[in-house]
Amino acid sequence: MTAPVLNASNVVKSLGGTPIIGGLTLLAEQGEFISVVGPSGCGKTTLLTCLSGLRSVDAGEISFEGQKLDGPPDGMALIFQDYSRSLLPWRRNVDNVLFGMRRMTGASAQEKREKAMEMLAAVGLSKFETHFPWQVSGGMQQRVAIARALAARPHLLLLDEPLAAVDAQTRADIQDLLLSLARQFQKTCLLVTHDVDEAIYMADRVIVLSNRPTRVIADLAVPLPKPRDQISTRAEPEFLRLREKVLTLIRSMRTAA
Amino acid sequence: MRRLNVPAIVFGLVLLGAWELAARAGQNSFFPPFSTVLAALWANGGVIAAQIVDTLRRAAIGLAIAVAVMVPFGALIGRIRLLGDIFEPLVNMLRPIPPPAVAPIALLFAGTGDAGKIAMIVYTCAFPILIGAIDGVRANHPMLTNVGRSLRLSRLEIMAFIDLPAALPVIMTGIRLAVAAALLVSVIAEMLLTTNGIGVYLLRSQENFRIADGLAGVVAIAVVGYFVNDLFLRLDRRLLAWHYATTGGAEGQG
Amino acid sequence: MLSLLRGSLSILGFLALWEIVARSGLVPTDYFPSPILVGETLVAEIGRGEIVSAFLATFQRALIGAAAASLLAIAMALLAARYTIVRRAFDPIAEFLRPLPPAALVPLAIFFLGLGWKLYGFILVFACFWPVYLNAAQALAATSRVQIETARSFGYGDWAILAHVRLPAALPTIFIGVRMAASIGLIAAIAAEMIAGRDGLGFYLMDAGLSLRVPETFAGLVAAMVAGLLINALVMFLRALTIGWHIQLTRMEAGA
Repeated sequence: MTAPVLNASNVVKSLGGTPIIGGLTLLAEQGEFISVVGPSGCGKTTLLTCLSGLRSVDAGEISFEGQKLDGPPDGMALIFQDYSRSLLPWRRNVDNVLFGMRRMTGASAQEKREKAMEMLAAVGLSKFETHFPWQVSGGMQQRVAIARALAARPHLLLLDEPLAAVDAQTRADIQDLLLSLARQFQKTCLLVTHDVDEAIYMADRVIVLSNRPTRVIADLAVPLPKPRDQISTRAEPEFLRLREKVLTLIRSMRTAA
Repeated sequence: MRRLNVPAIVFGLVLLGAWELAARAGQNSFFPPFSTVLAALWANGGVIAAQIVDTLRRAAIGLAIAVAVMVPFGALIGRIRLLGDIFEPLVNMLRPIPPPAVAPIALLFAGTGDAGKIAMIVYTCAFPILIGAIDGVRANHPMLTNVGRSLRLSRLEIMAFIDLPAALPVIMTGIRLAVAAALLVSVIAEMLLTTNGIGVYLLRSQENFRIADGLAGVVAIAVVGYFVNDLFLRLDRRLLAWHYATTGGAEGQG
Repeated sequence: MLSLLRGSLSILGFLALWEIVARSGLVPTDYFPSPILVGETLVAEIGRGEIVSAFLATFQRALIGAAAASLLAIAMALLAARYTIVRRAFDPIAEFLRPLPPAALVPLAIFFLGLGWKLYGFILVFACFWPVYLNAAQALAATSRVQIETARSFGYGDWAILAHVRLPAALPTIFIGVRMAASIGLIAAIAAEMIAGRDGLGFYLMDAGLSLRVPETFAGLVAAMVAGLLINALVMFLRALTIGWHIQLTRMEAGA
């Protein structure tokens, strides 16, 4: 049996004396798309920085493909909410994608460049390779960030509210783009979001977090048919049932807080 | 209570210790040890202080004249299109002239007394302050002026309560640059237009081979410069607390 | 184009006014030469060659001094950015030495370094170092967290982040310092030449001024102005080469 892609057990983390994560356990299997939702300020972003190895944990253990985490590992890529600042403004779009390929050793500069172009094409930005990120729209900037993450050939993609700052139309487009890319490249994905509809629409599994110090209070399978569709999926009775359930859970915690 | 900065203290002591030991080992009268310099500072404290007061006095007068003239002038240039068209090219033309280069002309017109030196300081401080005032007034967001109008403030009230405070951060940046320049040029002016001041004290120490006394003067002026700088930084923080709170810090410094 | 026309109009007007005042006899002409006389003197002096060699000596000193100080300051700021202890140890000393007027060091530096290039090197590097170091250290410390974490997540180590993220992000601010250093370099070079020099524009100006050769003094002033314009243009050219992206970006933000 192969090890799960990501295995977090009993993770505890405090920041500046405030307990943020209080014994959280989470498992991601190969090829799964998992959404994590929770009430505002429950420590979702802190959780993600721990899972990505950017921060160490106080107690518990996180392992990635069977290896205990100790700094950001190979094979994991992160997409930030703050895409306009996560892209480097002095690099053109294609050079931003190349920036993500540092670990790709053995490939020539030419091969890397071709690969970067390929990834930009995959997110529909072939014509914007030589633009600077700040010369294209917010939605396109987020596509560049996605291309950069995919170009690093990760096995696991961590997404930190990647669509919180784009308009509704663009958000729907990028949601579908992410789903098709995840399937095409067979990636395991972990999406942190505060948008319950988005969480259910994207995922095979929705994990609901509690208030701080946060832990998992529900782990719900999403048995909706694939491929998803912005109109029909969201109208499915199962979608509405899950939505009500998750929203009720989050509201109950808000009143408890 | 601020925590002690141990690395800085250690580093500073090591530097001073190295100076002391190297000078003692060298036994060169051109390179006195730090302790001798301290003793000279103690012995000549009164003379040095009097000279520095003279230097600072001129710097302060020059700076005050430059502020009083250049802030309103800059505000006018920035606000009134025609004045901007007339004066900005001139400002841009004269600005690159390095201040010491005007020394012979200041000497010609104002002599070696206070007037010549103060003229040089005014000239030096004028440009950063003027440019700060022009840019400051221009950077003002038109929305704020509209807010003032909607509150039925008069033109004068808008200038006093909205334009000036909003332009203050940029003006203060100009003034901070001018403060450093004033001290610098004050010393240069004294060395060139010789009569008195710390610059002259330093020249005399050199001419008479009194190295330790000269170094004592340098140490004294470093201390004074540090506190003058610190004073204006505090003034800046106090006046512009709102600005730093909204932008999260100063941009360029120098 | 229009603004260029307006600019030259205003400068021409200024020169015309100066010419009229000089001819009117309101000011003694001995002290206040007309711009035409200054222009003629300048041409004659260029023909004699003395002002040219003075200009070249000063410009070369300022340029080399500012460049050396900038490189040194950036290197020091990189060290301070990489190792907190360096920054903690160095910054208070920087705060203390920075306001020290470089001219105050000239008389004593003569003892140790003589009157040659070592004196200029020391004074110029001391004068130009601080603006670059302070701007660089501050900007290197202010890199956005998101950019650093992005780089870390893609496997960049501390030095690689310094080279690929923090330094390029800091360059626009560093150039503010370099621009200051260039003009301070010229000031320090001229001041040092005036106080202790035997050549250069500072010496030329002082020599002409003290011997009351007034038109020559003004011609020297024009030469100093040209040096100032030229060294600033050089920095701006270098800036456009290195951080063209930033210039475009600010222009776009200003337009929006």
